[in-house]
Amino acid sequence: MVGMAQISDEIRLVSHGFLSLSKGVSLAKGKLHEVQGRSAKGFALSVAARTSGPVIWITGKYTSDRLLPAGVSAFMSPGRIILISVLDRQEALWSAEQALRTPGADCVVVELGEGPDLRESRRLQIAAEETGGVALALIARRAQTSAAHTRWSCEPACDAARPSRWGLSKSKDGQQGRWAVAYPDRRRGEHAPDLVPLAAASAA
Amino acid sequence: MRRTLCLWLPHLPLERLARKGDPRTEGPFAIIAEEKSAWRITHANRLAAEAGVSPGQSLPDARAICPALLSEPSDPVRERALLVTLRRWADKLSPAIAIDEPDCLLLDIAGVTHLFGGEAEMARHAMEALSDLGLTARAGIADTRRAAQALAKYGRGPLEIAEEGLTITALRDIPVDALACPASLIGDLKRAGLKTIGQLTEIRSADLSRRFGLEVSAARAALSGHEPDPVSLSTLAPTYAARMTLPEPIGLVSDLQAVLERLAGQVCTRLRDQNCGARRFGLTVRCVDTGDHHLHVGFARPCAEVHHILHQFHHPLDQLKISFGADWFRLWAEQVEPLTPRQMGLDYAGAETDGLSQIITTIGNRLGFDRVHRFLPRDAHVPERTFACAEAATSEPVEEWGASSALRPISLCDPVQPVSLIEAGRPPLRFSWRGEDFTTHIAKGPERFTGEWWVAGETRTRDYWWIQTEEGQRLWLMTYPAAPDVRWYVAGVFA
Repeated sequence: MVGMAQISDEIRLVSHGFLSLSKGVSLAKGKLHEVQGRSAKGFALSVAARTSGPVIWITGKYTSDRLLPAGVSAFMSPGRIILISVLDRQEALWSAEQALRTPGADCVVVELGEGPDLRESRRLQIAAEETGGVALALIARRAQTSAAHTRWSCEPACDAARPSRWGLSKSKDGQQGRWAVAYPDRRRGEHAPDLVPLAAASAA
Repeated sequence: MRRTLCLWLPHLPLERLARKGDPRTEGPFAIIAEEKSAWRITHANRLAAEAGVSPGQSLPDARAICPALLSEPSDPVRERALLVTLRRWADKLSPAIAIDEPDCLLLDIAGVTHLFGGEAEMARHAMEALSDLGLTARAGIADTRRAAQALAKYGRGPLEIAEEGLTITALRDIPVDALACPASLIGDLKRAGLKTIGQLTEIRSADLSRRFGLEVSAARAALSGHEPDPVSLSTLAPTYAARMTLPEPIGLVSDLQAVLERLAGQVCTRLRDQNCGARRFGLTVRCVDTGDHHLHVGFARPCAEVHHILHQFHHPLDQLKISFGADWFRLWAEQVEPLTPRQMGLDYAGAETDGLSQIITTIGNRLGFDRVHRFLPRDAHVPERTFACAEAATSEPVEEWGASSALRPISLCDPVQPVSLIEAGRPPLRFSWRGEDFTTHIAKGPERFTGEWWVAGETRTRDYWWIQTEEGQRLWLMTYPAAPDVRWYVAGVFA
């Protein structure tokens, strides 16, 4: 029996439910989700609009693209956003983890350059499991192998009715697909994005 | 009958420095103050006084008399702080104490003297204790405040007592300066040959008023107790602080935490008794080898919870470098504010704000409170000024923020980023930005903004276009219509 470690049969399953985005498409709460592409912010705002509490948005202090409340107001009230300016990646990940560990923030958005690696994403994942908040990592550059629950790639499209295309390229639930998306608009009383599956693309 | 003890500290500013071990006080030394744009001596120590320096002289004169004289400008704030500390010390003598600036303590000693064995014993006890602290004191005891002050300041010995009801008799030889009247009036009195209070009391009040005005007779009446001359007692603001001294230095983080927990327990109990919380806490850790280390944490809202304080101090304590241990600790609360009572439970929104303020506190303490912001609306039409970023710890959230009626990007490029034109147009038909080529598919515009000339920054007139590119991305293009050469910039990116 030398070298045999006792392995627990018990598997801890944590589920905090799902945040429904549109009919048939939902986002697991208490999980880390990666978002890539030029419409990543639109995705994050659409998800944030589905939650009700404060939104912690972690961004670089010297980033040139800053959130504009007037534009955000089409999705949700900009007063809900707590903006945290960080100097480097370490601070961004630390802030995200702290925000996720404390109950009170339903949605934590962290803007990153490279995607989180296995260790970083696992830490964020565990922090998110503690409180059940939705963690979104917006990845500007390349994604890495990670413990994130899903990975979305969001690109704008030249389409007046459905101006964005969201693709689910990785999901631990086994979901997959591509959707043409119409953003929610508070002025029209919409609080959820409207997703229409792109059959041809998902078949490809 | 009221009895007042006046403790006068004539050399308070000098002795404040001497107590700190200032080496300059060993030679001829003086405290100076600026008066009518000239530096004048206010206090001179014994060596300086022996050399001929006296208060009131101008500094150049004093230097001419005593070339070795060193001087220091007076520091009223620190002197007052010392006086306030002494007022706390004097709590052991009497429960009713007033500070008489700049250098007097007034104690109401009616009914407490027997504890010290009499008035004279009490005053002597106080003066001895003060001299142990390195402070020279002179004392006067009388029925009235002004008489006690006069005896302390102008009495012959260091302790003068006017027996009950015999105020005027005791004050007979005191010079008229003790009346605390304007210097010109005192000069007039002296010129008229009235040098002492005794001479003054022989004159009828009416005659005195006719010659010198009502002020002198009023001061005389206050001195003898014929007119009220109240002492306004000062109550100290409560201090929320606790300290701990250990027989052996400690250095382990867990030990430090345990000390902090005890200190925080004391401070928080005191805060909660007053239904208060503090927005800042400071902790001094005195290391045996490297001296004092001051740690601070802030809170997004008033806090009186031990575990919150422990949580916020966790990181600073962890970062503290203690090689040989620390043996003295003091925790104090700053920015004490009343705690607004909140319903616990059945109040989901309350729990949520609790969590949020904890996030703001934790992140603010580590990164700085100026890095945690929230948006506030501002009434302006220039897009980059339609909102303000306020520190989240000190601002209240906006409850309802309606959707903007105009088409606005979700992110704003600040500063605007130039595009390079491939095919010109208004707006450009083809351009490249951030290494990508774009072709304009639909354009809406222009939307013209005139700069707000009353604020600093960009004041030029600007035209904005909403552009749907064939590549998909929607951009907010901007140009300056008045500029001689047409240049285009990306001002924002739509969702």
